[in-house]
Formats: sequence, C-alpha cells, structure tokens
Amino acid sequence: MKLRVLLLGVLLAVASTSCVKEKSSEVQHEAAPSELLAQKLMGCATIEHKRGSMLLYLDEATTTRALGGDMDDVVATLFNGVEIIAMEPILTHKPKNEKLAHELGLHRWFSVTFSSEMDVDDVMKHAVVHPEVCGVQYCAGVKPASNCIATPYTPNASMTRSEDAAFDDVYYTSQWNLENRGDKSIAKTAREGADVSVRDAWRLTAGTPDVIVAVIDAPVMYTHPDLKDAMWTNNAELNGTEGVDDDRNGYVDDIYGYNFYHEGWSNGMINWEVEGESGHGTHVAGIVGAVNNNGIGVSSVAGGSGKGDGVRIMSCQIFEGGLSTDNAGISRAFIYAADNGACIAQCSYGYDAKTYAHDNAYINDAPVEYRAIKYFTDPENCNHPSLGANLAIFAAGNEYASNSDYPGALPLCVSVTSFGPDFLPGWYTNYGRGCNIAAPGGDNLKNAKGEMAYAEILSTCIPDVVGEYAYMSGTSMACPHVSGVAALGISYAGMLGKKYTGNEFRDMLLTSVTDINSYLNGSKEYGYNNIPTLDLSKYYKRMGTGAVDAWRLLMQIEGTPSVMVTTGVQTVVDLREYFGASAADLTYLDITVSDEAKEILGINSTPKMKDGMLAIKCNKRGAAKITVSAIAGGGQLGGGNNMGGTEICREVSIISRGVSSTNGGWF
Amino acid sequence: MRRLIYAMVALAIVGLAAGCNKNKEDEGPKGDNRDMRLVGSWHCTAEEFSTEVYVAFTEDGAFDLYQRLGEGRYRFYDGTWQYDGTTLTGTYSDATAWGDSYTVAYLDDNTMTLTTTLTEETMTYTREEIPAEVIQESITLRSETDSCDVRFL
Repeated sequence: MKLRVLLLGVLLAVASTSCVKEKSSEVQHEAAPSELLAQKLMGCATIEHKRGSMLLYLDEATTTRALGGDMDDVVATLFNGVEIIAMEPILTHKPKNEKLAHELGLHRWFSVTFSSEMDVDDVMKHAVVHPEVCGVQYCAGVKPASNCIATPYTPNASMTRSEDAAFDDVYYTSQWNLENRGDKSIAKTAREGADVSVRDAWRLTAGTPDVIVAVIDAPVMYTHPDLKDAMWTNNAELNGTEGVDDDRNGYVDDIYGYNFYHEGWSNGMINWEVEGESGHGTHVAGIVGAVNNNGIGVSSVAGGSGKGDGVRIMSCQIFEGGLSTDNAGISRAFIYAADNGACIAQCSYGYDAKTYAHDNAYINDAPVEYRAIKYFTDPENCNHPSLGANLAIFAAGNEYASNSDYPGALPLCVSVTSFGPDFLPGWYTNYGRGCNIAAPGGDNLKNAKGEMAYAEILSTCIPDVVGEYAYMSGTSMACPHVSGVAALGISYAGMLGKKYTGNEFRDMLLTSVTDINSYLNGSKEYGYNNIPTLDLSKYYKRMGTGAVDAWRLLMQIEGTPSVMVTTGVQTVVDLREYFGASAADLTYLDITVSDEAKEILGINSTPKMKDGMLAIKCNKRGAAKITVSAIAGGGQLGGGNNMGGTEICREVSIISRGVSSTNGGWF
Repeated sequence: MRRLIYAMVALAIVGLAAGCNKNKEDEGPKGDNRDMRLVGSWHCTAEEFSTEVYVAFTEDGAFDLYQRLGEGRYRFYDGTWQYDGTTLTGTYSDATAWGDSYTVAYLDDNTMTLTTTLTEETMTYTREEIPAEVIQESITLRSETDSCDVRFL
C-alpha cells in the first residue's frame, strides 16, 4: 500500500514537470497532427525559416532520458519513420551556471537536423503527437544590420592629417566618428561634434584589458595587424594541443572565440576564408577595439593608449560566408560569451523590423534565443567586478522603419540608431519604438568634390575581401560605438573601484548623450542613388535619448553633482546632468521621494517634471536624494504586448539652502 | 600767539582726520568695489551639503569659483564682484546674477563669513590657496551648448 502511494507520488511529481503548463497534453493522440502542430508551434508560422532543421522542447523526464544516454531511443520514438540526421541539445556543453540554465529551461531544448528536402512541418507533425514534446520551433536565421558593402580605404586627397590627432594611427583624421571637426572633405554637411565625444574621455581611460566584448557576428579576423593584439585569448588553448579541449570548457581550440555556424559542431574554428565573407564582424570589432596608437591603420573607441591596455575582443561567429546560423547557434554564442568572461555582447544583427510587432511576439517566436540573452544578462553571470549584469547591445536595423529590430527592441537590450557626420539620421536607420540611443553609423553623403565613401565608417576589414581597411555604414557600425563607450565606462568604473547594478550602468549609459533633437527639423536631401529625402520631423525624439557621449559617461561614473534649490521657494532645476542633453525631450514616468527625504528637505508636495526641468519646493535646509524615472526611447515602455522604450531611473541629489542661482553657481 | 595755537589745533584736527581717512582706505573706500581683505583665495566646507567651495577674489573685481556639490568634479564659474562696504554682490560671466547678496564679516585675517541678505544663511570661509588639482581637473559647464569644457591645464 505504501509502495503504491509512493509510486503515485512519484508519478504526480513527474507529471508536474511535464508539458502540462506549457501546452495541454490531454487527448493528444485524438487530435490531428496539424492541430497539435498549431497548438505546440512556438512562434510565427510565416517567418522565413531554414530547411532541414527544427527545434524541439521536451518535458523534463524525456530530457533526462535523452541526455542520460537514451538519445537514439528518444529520436526513434518521436520521429518514427523519419530519417533524422542528428538531434543535439542546445546546451552541447555544460554551462557554467547550470542552475540558471535549467531555470530558464535551456536544457530542455534540442536541435534536430534532417534532409533539407523534407518538409519541416511534416517532420514537426511526427513529433507533436507525443505528449512529452512541449513545443516545436522553426529555425530562423538573422541578418547583419548592414548591407555589408564595403568600400576599400583610399586616401582622402582633400584631407590633411591633423597635427594634434589624439593617436598616431595614420587614418585617425579620417575617422569623423571618433572626432568630427566638421571637415568638408568628409561631407559637405559635416558638423563639428557629430561623433562620440571620446577624445577627452581618452585622457582618463582608453579601455582596460579586463573588459571583454563578445562580437556576436561574422568572424573577427584575429590575425589582422590592428586587431591581433586586441583579441581575447584563451591561453590554455593557445598553449595547448590542437584538437584537444585543453581548458575543459567544452570547446576545442577556442583560442580567440568560437564558430557557432557549423552544423554538427565538429569544427569551431573561426573562419573568414569562405566565399561570401563580407568582413562585417572584423569591421565591427575594429570600431570597438582596434589597437590605438600603434602607428598603423585606425583608432577605436576602446582600443587602449598604445600600451596594450585596450579592451579585448572575443569572436563569437554566427555568420559564415554571409549565411547565418540559426536560433540554436545564436543561443550557444550567448551562453559561450557569458561562460567565458564577456561583459558586453556586441550584436550588429537582428530580425527585420516588420517581423515582430511587440515583445511577446519575438519571445514566443525565438524562445531559445531570448532565454540565452537572459542567461547572458542575468546578474548571476556578470563578468566584471564593476557591473552587476552584462550588457547586450544591438543594432536597431536598417529598414528605415519606425521601430527597432528585435532582439534589440527588448527592454533588457540596448538598441542603437545611426547618424552620419552631419548629426542627422542615416537614410536607412530604423527609429522610434524600441530604439534607445544613437551613434555614428555613416551615411551616403558627398564631400565637396562629390566623393562619397568618406562619410561612412572606416575600420578594419579583411584584406582578401576588400582590403585591410574599409568603409561601411549601417546601424551595424553605430552599435559598436555604444559597445565601445560602454566598455570605456566599465573600464573607468573599474579603475575608480566603483560598482553598479546592470540597470544603474545601463541608465547612466543611456543618459550620457549629446542632444541631436535640435537638428531634427526640415528635410535631408540626397538627390542621388534613389535615396529618398528624409522628413527630419519624423525622427524628432525618436532616435533614442540622444547621441552617445563617452565623456559624459565617464563624468557620470566620477559622480554627478547635486542640484541646488532655494529653501522655501518653488525652484525649477535643470536635470540635463542626470538625463543627458536631451532631458527636455524625454517622457518622464515618476518621481519618488522617500519619507526620509521628505523629512530632511521638508517636502510637502510631490515634485513635478516638465520639459526636463524639476519643479520642487523644499521647506527645510538639507541634502537628500530623490529618484526620477523616464523612458529611454519613445513615449511608452516596451514589454509584453508592447514595443517601446526602456525605463531608466536616476537618483538626483538635492541640496536645499538659503540661496541658489539659476545657473547652479554656489553664490 | 593765540592765532598760532588756533593754527596748530586746526592742523592737528586736519591731521587726525587724515589719519581716520587712511584707516578707511585700508578697509576699502565706500562705493569702491574692492575690499582688499576679501582679495585672495578662500575655502569653504559645507558639511551639511557635502560641498566644497574654493573662490578667488582678485583686486580688479573678478572672481574664480570652484565648487563640488556632492559628487563629481569641481565645476568652474567666474565673473565679477562688487562690494559697497556693506554688501557683497556678484554676477557670473554668463550674466547670471548671484542668487543673493552677502554681508561680509571677518573673524580674523584668515577667516570670514558670508551671510545671505534674504535668508541669513552663514557660511565660513578660511583663507587658503586653491589646490592645483582642483583647478586642473575642474570642468566648465557651458549652458548654451550644454557641453562640458575640460580644463586640462
């Protein structure tokens, strides 16, 4: 009797980890396979998907069997009559944070490969009739956020090298994205200051090697003269035996990263010598961390000062020969990056802006990738002592759509729009909902001589593809500027011994901006290449919080001064120091004043925000903090059935005293 | 003889008057914007506000102000000051007037207080040279462009 009760208890426990919660498993064999497919398909049936593969989400018990040595039996049961080439867990390697991976359900996902001549739906229908199959998903690929058309570097005959260039890299003067002097040899409409404001930041730091940026993209050419000393290096593998997993992290020969494109996982070697390779990943990597001050090539945002002190680049290859791996491969890239020390995932890719209308649509369609991004950004997996959580930074996309691509549009990611050397949107850039911040990405603008390439972004590239250095444009190029600035910020925080939660750092990043909204009026005309005239009013307040500003970020890390108000007087104070130069254009959500702060400052009525200004009346002298929250990117928050901006919160220090001047001066 | 005595007394009176006038010149004549005792560099620590202030008043009526309100770098302001013998006022170089005027009182040669006229808030300043690192690492907020100039000297 006791044994029967015990067995019943065990069965009930097993049932609790079955698919009941995800999809109803009752009477599955009585429903038609097509009905079951409709029930269990996790995602959009109309998305363009890869042939010859699918993803499978199993219940806990079957997962345990499959991973415990019964994979062949599970395959035979689920796909009876179908020739399956391979079924592998998404987690081909044991993750460092196995507990978190299991909590996210990543261990229950499997990729299944079969002949590309088979209909994917037909294969799925074989599986979905089994109750232990909780879900199935198509394998979709992604695309880089650039047209990947590179123009080889040629000297700009109109340009003279600046005598006071920050670094001795020979092409520094051509890099308006780092320091824009309004040089008309770049573009007729070049505007001084349309850059990332990094020159002064470099006096404080140009990056530190403890900051690792995972470039989840096409391969990074790790032998490039301007990148080879900037690569993250797995020394155990470098000094180990070829073909052996020397450091036992589950990956063989992952010296500078890993190649997640290959099917079958037999070869993870980073590979750029494939027809169709564009150099996209190498170009992106160079923007983040090409070695500075080495007398050759280009400079970069966080490539150090010439003493080998720049941030490090980890190549997580998800494109090969221009083709993309699928959700499974992309997911593995994020897990690898988290497990091997990256604190920034630099992701110049996404799904077309028309694909998903809101967060839930993406999450339902790409559950593995979404959970892998959550694994990367979870505070438990943070990889830098100054950060509470790793950052995932994405390109907004190039469909000139009024919303960001996903995954960038997710609130847990940062989505980057693009501007040219004129501080105006690139004609291609997505904008609006889901977009958080802007950065230089280049544009098709002509200089005074009618030459066009110089307004794009110059960076490292692959010699056999287009040349050692080349110009490219896109939000793909804008994104690594934000990754580089974030890397500088993390470096500086580390130098100062400061520590932030993931949200605090992200909020500082998104409020470290120069205003560009003041330029967004009128129109931007090209008059060539069929590029449409831009109505700039469409972009007003829709490029994110502003143009990323490296100097401001480092100043925020040093500390933001208090704002002064006059005791007993309703005072209006400017919060641009806290919310960036575009503070007046943000949508503010809330002002939180603790009971303690109310008591200290004698606040009897809730302060108000209007146009970036805080109206507050303190009836007592003293100092305390209040919290102000706003939306980074648009007028509504994203999440659930919304696509929108990210909530940012800043703690504002208030000093209430008997006198204050309108410019913040002490007297 | 009487005329001589009267003349000597008159001279003595004139001499005394001249002496008093000399004392007043030491304090700075009324209507003049210079209080020579004010001239120099001063430091104020306002602990209740976690604030540090350095200010240098020059003879020609200019001031340089370095303030750190809580966190971050010192912020630099400059402008002009005026003193009518009773009240100290000033204007920043961006044409913003000081938030209030101040009564100056000297506790000794190296210590003064500035008290706001309207609210009678008193802060104590001690004579001290502005540290080089405060000057070198300060920044100027340019309100018209909302950017910061780095003062790397």
